[in-house]
Amino acid sequence: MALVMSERRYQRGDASAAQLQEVVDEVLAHLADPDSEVASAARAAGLEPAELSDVNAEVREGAQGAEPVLTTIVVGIAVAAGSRVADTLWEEVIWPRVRRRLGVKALGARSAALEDGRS
Amino acid sequence: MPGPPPHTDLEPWMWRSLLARAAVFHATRTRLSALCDMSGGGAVQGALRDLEMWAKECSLQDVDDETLVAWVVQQWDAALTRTLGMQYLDAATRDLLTELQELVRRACSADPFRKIFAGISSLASALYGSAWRSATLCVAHIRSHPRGGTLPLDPYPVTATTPWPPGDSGAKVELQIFCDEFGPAAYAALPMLLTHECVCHVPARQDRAKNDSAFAEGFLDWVAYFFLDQWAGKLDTGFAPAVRRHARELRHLLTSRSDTPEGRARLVGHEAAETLLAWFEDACHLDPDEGRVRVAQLAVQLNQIERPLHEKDYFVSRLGSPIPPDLQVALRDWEAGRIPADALLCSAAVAA
Repeated sequence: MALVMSERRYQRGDASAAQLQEVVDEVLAHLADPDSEVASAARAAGLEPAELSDVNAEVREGAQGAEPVLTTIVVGIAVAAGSRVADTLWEEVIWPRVRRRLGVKALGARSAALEDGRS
Repeated sequence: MPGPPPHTDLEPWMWRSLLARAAVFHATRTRLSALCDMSGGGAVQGALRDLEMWAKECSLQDVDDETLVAWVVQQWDAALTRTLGMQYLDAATRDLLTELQELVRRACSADPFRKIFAGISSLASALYGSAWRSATLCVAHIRSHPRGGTLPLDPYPVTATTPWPPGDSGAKVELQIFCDEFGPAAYAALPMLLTHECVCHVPARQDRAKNDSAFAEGFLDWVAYFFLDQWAGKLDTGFAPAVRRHARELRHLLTSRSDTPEGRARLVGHEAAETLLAWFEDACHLDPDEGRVRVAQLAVQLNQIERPLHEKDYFVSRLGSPIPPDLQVALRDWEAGRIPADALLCSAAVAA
């Protein structure tokens, strides 16, 4: 089954893409452990961790600029289970852990522009 | 095995670091103003650095809240004893550190953030009656000063927000703390921040959130300061002097920022409230205290009216000096109890 890439774009917050990526990778690593708190959170959100074994997440800078605060951060989540699962995984599992680690302003406001799913 | 932190947006170590300091500030709250005044240098500054160091140290220990607070108190107590053993201390410093040492021994591990919020939300609930929405407090962290300030100039690395719209279970008030710089002044400013959220935003009936609303962030903010002044003694007699003082200082900092739409909205709303107060004194022959109560009552009533925020902003925009004659008639009718606040709001809009 093809992976579906779901992207969401945010105004830059307090954290760089590299810092965000590090925490996201850590969360996904814990997701692979069925006994972990992250896997429990996924199940509580209606997701089955075993079906997320192929998930891949990438955080990158959306642009470069002289004023880093004006640039964007793009969070891409690729998962075969589809974009709705990717949304739930981000909202209910990954983002709460990112904000706990990096603060509530780790990401700025979400930007609706340039967001779509692609196979 | 310690349980998870009571605030899910904080890592356990971060919660421990915050709780350690907040518990000490709570225990010493009757002397917080003096602590802030004398923290610019010397032994008092050193004592605060000791506290910060021990708070960081204890945050690395995976222990329950009670053990944590007992441990940091023990360490700070010992550090104060060492400092008090120095002969060079002046009398005022020695007296303050001695008092702090006695007070901190009574520190307890109950969540001080929730305690403050519970008192304020209870009073705000009584103020708004059936219009009150249930509210929960969530403590979260940010990684920089919310206004980009530096400690000596802006010792309040804290802010609060209430996401709009409220959820099915009520409003969520989020207290955001830059943990690295959380000190006694920031702790003393918490009641003002939470009063602003509870008076201005938790029970608000409006169509959307607007951070540059002169009504929601200015006119009502003036009223929130009024209520904090009224409530401070009821909330905690010993804490009240520091709370009132740091509310005033925070207000001065926030109203001196006219370079942003939010700052301007605050200034415009405050000025409108002052203009209305002066009008009540002159036109309705109220003394200043009665006038302030009437401004506060009107703001609270307007906040409960399910109307778009731009209408309330428009009402505030008309409270310039002199107040337009048609609005003066409507205000007199409202003050005399002849029309309700929603009719006043409508008449202000229709007259436009």
